[in-house]
Amino acid sequence: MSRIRLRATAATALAVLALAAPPTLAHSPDPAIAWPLYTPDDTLQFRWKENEVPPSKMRDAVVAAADDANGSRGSRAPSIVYAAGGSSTVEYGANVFCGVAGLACADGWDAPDTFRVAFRSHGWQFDWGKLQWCQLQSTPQNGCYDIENVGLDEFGHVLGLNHHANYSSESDYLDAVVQTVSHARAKVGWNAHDFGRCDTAKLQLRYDMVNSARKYSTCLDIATALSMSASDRSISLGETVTFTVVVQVADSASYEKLRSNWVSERRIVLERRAPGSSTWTQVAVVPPIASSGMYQIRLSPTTTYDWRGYFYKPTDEGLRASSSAPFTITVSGTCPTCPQAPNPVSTREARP
Amino acid sequence: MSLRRWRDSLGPPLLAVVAVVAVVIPAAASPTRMRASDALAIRTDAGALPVCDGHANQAPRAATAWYRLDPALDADGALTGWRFFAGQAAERHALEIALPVESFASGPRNGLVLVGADDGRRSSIRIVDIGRRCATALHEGPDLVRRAVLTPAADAIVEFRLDRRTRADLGVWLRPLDGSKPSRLVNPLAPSPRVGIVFSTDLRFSTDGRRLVITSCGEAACLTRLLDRKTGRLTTIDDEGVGETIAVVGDELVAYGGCASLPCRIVARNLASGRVRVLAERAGLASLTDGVLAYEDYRQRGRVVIRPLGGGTARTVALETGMRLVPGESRALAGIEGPVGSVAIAPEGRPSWTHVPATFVEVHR
Repeated sequence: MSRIRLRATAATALAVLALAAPPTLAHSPDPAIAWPLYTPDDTLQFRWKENEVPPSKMRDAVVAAADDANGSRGSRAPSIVYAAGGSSTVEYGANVFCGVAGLACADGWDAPDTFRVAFRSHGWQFDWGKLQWCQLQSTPQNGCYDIENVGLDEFGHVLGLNHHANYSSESDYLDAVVQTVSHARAKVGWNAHDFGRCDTAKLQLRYDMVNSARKYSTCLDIATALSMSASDRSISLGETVTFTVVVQVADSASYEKLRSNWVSERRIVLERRAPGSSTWTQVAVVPPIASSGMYQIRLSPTTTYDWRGYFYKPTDEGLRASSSAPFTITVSGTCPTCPQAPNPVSTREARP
Repeated sequence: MSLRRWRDSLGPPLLAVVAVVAVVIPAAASPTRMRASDALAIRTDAGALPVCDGHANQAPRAATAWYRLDPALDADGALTGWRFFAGQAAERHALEIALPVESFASGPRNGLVLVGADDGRRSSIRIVDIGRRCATALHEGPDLVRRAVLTPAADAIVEFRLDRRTRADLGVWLRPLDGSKPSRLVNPLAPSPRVGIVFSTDLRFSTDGRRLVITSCGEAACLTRLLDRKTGRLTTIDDEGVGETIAVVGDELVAYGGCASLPCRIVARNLASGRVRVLAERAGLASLTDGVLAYEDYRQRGRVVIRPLGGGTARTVALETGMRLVPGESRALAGIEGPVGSVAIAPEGRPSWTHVPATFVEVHR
């Protein structure tokens, strides 16, 4: 077995190991709720239920919550909008699907056609005392619940999210709006009006990304697969080689709708090393050429090197680093006047 | 399986209980001993609900009934109280009663519903005879009674009390209807980090009447205590895998599997061995009668699964559009009693007061 092939095999083995690693439990995406998923990119219209119409200020806050969901879903999850003739309902009364303890609740019994969301009445008496909705108080007091926040939680359920699993310290409470225990004013997160990163992560898993350039939630830890090819692996000095890189989400069922997605508009680096060396040098950033996760660059290598493409783990999204299997491009002959390859951008130790 | 409408016919066991209730309640709780304040008087649109005449030997007019509670709101949407609707058989609501915000109802049993109301100073408990359209005062006092149920023998009330000022748990009390002094049956629930602040406390008896079942639920988790009335032994089920109680049958607690919302699995936990068996996955509303569990299955939209607890073949019944299984009282804020061996199906899972209250599905077929 050649040295190159051996390294390629080792890299593949590491990639497989990375794929096989169990997903991290802490800061995991929200669990899924067990009713059928609505159609991606659909628009779910809701109306106020007859004889159970919420008060005006609650209606305003619920519509705002729907806007919050639409603005922060970060995925192809359906949008939720108010329409007088909507087939889904938002209600304000006594509803069987709410259980004995919730402040509000969602039901997908008729999913994926319609949904129901119900809010308990302002002043509802629980064992601990009276439920107070902040928007319905003349001056919001600590201990009241924010309708827009709770509404966003419920719309998260509608879209298929179950409650986020927090650390016992709840230090990650802001990672999700879809929470088991709602926070009253003025506890942390009581008025969060955007889905948290772990809410969005699950929506991305269940509904897919809007396009290949969109950022993956940092609550995800998605393996990527990078492949690189060259137009020629044996050239004469002065000839040009076209390097083509393709980046995808790894092919794993656990990635649900994200599986094998193209990954576009990221920073892909072309690296080289002298044969036998373990130190890789960054040569160039490979520009994207298509939305199908493809990147391309043309170079004229001046001597024989091993080459690989590398995707460094971004700090602002939940994708893992990946590398192509290295290959050698052999350069023969001399050409004193030939243009040189771009200056290296950095030198670094090899990594798998 | 066919859906069938209400029938007045009842099985012998229920009739036997009716006889007990008819004898005990009027005799034990004579209205002449009660001093109901005007604020707590049960009022209907037509005025105060008449006091039942209390003839101990009067045969009950009907042993079946339904009730439901609906929020009463002011112009700003704030809860100002409850509208208690109740009726018999297939009739639309026969009775409409205004109740304050801190109110409850439990039952019906043999046409009787226990109704509690608190005006912020005093709690009252009355038993409303739906068929006769009258009420009997059972208790009025300064203790804040949050919830109460009648014992199976109808000789006492079991009450869950709160401290009026702090709303701290004061435990579960037994109030005999013979006028003797109430006694505490179960101590207040010790704080449970798993359950958190208690939102709701449900009282019920096991189907054989042997155990009092107290389910305390926080926003997302529940803890269940069972008092064996024969031995006095208290068993606590503090298990994140056991949530809202559906019923206690024999030595098994049937409950949701500890989910914060539906759908959820339904489990049966053996009270002696602790062994848990899963009865259903992705279940919605559920009801248990005569040893048979009926539940909505989110994997079979629009259908109710009927499954004997003791094993045997499960079958499904189709629901008409808008109809759902009527669940337990705490969840439904409603109650209905039907023919023996049947579960109720109603619009949106609560007995209707504008149409036929409910239809029934026989579970043994």
